[in-house]
Amino acid sequence: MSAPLLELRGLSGGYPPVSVFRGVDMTVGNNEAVGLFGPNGHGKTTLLKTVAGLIDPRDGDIFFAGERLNTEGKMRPRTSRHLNYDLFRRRRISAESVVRQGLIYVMQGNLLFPEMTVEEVLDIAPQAARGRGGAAQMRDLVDAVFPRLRERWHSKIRFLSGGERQMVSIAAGLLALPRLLILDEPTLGLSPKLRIELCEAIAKIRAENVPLIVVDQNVEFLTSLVDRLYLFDHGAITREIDGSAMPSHEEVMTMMFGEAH
Amino acid sequence: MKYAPSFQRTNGFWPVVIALCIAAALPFFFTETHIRHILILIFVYAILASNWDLSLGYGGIVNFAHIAFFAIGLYTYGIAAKIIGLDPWLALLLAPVLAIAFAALLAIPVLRLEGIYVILVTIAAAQLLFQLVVSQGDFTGGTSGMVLIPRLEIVGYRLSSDGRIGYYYLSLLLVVFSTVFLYKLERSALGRAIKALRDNKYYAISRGVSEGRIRLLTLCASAIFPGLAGAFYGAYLRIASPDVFGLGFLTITLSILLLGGISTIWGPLIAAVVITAFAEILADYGASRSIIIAAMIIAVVVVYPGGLYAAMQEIWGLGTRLRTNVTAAWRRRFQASLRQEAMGVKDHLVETRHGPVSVCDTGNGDQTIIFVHGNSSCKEVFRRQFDEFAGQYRLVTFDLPGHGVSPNGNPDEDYAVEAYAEIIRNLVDSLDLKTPIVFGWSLGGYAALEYAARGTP
Amino acid sequence: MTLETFAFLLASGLVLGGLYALMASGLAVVWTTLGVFNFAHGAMIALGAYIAWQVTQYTTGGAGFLLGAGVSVAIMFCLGFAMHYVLVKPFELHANLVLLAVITTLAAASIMENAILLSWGPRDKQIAPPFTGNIEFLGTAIGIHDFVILAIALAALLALALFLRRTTAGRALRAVAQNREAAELMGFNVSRLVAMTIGLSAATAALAGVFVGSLRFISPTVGTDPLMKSLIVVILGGVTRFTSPIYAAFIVGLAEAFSAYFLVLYWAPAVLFAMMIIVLLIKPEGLFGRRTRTL
Ligand SMILES: Nc1ncnc2c1ncn2[C@@H]1O[C@H](COP(=O)(O)OP(=O)(O)OP(=O)(O)O)[C@@H](O)[C@H]1O
Ligand SMILES: [Mg+2]
Repeated sequence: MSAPLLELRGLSGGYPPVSVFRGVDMTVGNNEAVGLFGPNGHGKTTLLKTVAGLIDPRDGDIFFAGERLNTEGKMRPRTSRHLNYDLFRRRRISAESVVRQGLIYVMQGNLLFPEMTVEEVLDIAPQAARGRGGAAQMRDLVDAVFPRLRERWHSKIRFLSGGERQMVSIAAGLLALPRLLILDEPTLGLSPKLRIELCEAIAKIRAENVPLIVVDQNVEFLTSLVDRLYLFDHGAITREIDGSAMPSHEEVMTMMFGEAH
Repeated sequence: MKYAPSFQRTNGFWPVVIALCIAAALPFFFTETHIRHILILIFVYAILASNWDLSLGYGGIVNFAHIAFFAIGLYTYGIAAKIIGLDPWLALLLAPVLAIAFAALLAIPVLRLEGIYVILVTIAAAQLLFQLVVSQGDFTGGTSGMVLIPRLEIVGYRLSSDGRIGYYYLSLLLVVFSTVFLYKLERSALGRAIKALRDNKYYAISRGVSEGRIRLLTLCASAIFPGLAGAFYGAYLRIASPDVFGLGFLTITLSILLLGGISTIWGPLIAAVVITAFAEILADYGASRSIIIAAMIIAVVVVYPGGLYAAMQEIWGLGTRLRTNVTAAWRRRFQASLRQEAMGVKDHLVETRHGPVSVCDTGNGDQTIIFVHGNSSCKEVFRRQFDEFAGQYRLVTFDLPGHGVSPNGNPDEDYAVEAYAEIIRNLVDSLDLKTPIVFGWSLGGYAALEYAARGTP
Repeated sequence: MTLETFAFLLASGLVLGGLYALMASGLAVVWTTLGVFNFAHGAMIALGAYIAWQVTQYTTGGAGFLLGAGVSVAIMFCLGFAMHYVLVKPFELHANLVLLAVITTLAAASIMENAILLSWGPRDKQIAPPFTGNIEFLGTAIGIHDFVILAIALAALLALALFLRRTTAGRALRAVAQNREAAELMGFNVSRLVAMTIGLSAATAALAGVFVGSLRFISPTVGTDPLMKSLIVVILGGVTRFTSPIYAAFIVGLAEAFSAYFLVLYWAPAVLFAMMIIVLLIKPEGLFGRRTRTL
């Protein structure tokens, strides 16, 4: 395999002073879809936010397309409780430059911009992709995958349903021309019907060869979509499952919690 | 329920006694009225800022009408003593009553609002009061204020005689009363309810704290001493001007509070001294003085938002850490034989993710037992177990960070059950202990459970 | 009341309303974006007025007035932009942001006021109104200058509204105000956008300052009264939509003009503040607002 698209090496982080995940090693190959599965509240979102540049990593490295996204070295622990460290410390990673590189993170349960219309949101979304080609095709893809959005074109986000909001989020992510798209629980809190609709949409996106990291609580959906699955538990990757041997929901639960889950 | 030790037994006792003695003796060293005037100003600011902290720091109510309490005290005294002709001492006592009444009125809108709206409604209330004062020129003297307000006398002795010495001690007395009041209040059931409401409103309410009542009491309590101080100020300067409603006065008081540190009683007192003295040193610079002071305030807030008192505590804490670290190093270096005698083996430092810990590793056997000691203890408590089991098991024990002879840890990260579990895991890896039995005593028990819950990867 | 008095009060109320709208929208834009109340807004108005006055000392007449306004707006935009990095950015993530920002903006106001005092002295100044002459309006003579001010104020507000609604940059500013994290994830430089917002706010303050300075005398503390007025406007109107403080500004402007006629002059502000407290009690989100704050 050639150099991976995304590589996390011994990545640790959290919300200082709390450490949430530590020593995470993870790779996403070119043109690969990877799943991340784990119990609620164990730090998947925190990990992905770190990768997206919203939170500074404490230790470890993030490589994307061969380039390091974070500054080298590890975060020095704070020794003073009240000193304003934000003033002295440079951020170790910046969301802006991560997004410019084409690593797009679609946040979990994203409210987006409640007072803006769908049209306005999708108008500012390609900001990150300035200077790269392919915007027109992506627009067509978004139209094909989410025909529903055209119907709500001039509605404000706050009047949309949860599923529609999720669609806008993903569409906005796509319009930023992702080289790797991270979807954090895209089907969270949706009705079964909408859920199926959204899963199909994501499968369609995958069919366009967009590399993905998907977090979801539904193992069946994940295994049908991804090439590899990481199991994530207590802030660390506990197992990596290859595409050839995708387990069922029951099997995964047993792997993670033992027989008596 | 009594959590806090009595004041005589806290670290703060002697510093406060010394500060009081100094304050009581100062007028004998400084006989010029000007310096005494500055000192009295310091006391007035200290009262204003530290009582403001009651609502703002402890209560979480950002009350921008706090200075209005002072103004009400000032004008109450002025009007009562000069226009109504009340005895000045009675007028002095009337002032806080009216300030409390205003605080109760203010509580009506404040109780219904949150966040920035509280700031806005209190600004509006203060401005309303200002407009009223200015518009009622017959009583208040309008924009030019009142002059020649009656002074305070004790059986014919004017407090302003002998270089204002009477006013000096009266203001000192006010500061002492105000501070005792705040100190007692903070430690009372009411004080705990006030802090509980600030920290977790809904939990506090669900535990039976009445939000409306407590917030009302907070506001009223924070009005008493500013009201008194206002009346005192009127009697002392003998003028009452609407300038007290201005942004300048508010800015200085608020800076004293924030630079001293919110949610502390002593911080604003210290900051009142520092800032007023600093302003006095720069007195000759006119407008640039205000610029310098404002720039300094911005610099401090930006660099160290915790304030002076927190800085003092942190420096004190640094000293303590240095001392204990030196002691631990000394014991590691020079008293190793003592410990070796107890445990039967020499200890050594092992590096972990949470800093180095001092480890004893002895015994033979395939199975390892790790002993984890309890809070405020050390690894040597297990010497009997070490004697007993050394034949059958490999025995490992260590000092948790900051315990025994291990160096201190980082308070934000290393003193937590999760950290202890990670230390155990690091030890298991670096000493190659395979699958150990972990024996924990007290706090060590929690660490052992946490280690067990994480499983072995 | 005669028709003439009515017309006169109406006109002066409208001019006041235009001014207040300009000041209040600047204040509201920062508030919605940062959740911070900018106490330096009044001092910015004063500084804007003084800068324009300085320019009119060199070039007089209508050109000087417009040039002064332009220079003042440009300088204040840069100053506002820089202020973000000094006064807000360092503790943007601090739990006590609102309180800390109160003290830094108060301190900044003190710095600006005293800097004015140092460079221009305490004596009152006035920017010469360049457009003299009156026009007939329902039987009274109204100064052309007042109309020019009203027109420029409205045009500036319209331009600001169009910028925020129609242009990508303006939409990005609104995006930052509504959901900072999501905006960051779209690749925007959030700090720069916030700084730009404060810059825009300072620019409107400067424009308002120029107008104030040509209507009355300016002194280093000339901004205090406008600050309080914009506060009332923002409370009355709420900040949900860009337009809500504008309606409120005209209501306040007219109310002030008419109450000054009917009530004793000194009572007018007290009435306004009492009104503000009542509105806060009954409908804290403002007369035209919803509870959320957005741009
Ligand atoms: N802003 C924050 N500050 C401090 N702690 C946080 C913050 N956000 C989340 N946490 C904590 O971090 C831990 C990990 O949360 P995270 O959202 O990353 O979990 P998750 O694996 O994504 O869960 P879920 O499956 O429910 O989305 C949780 O225990 C949570 O309480
Ligand atoms: Mg999550």
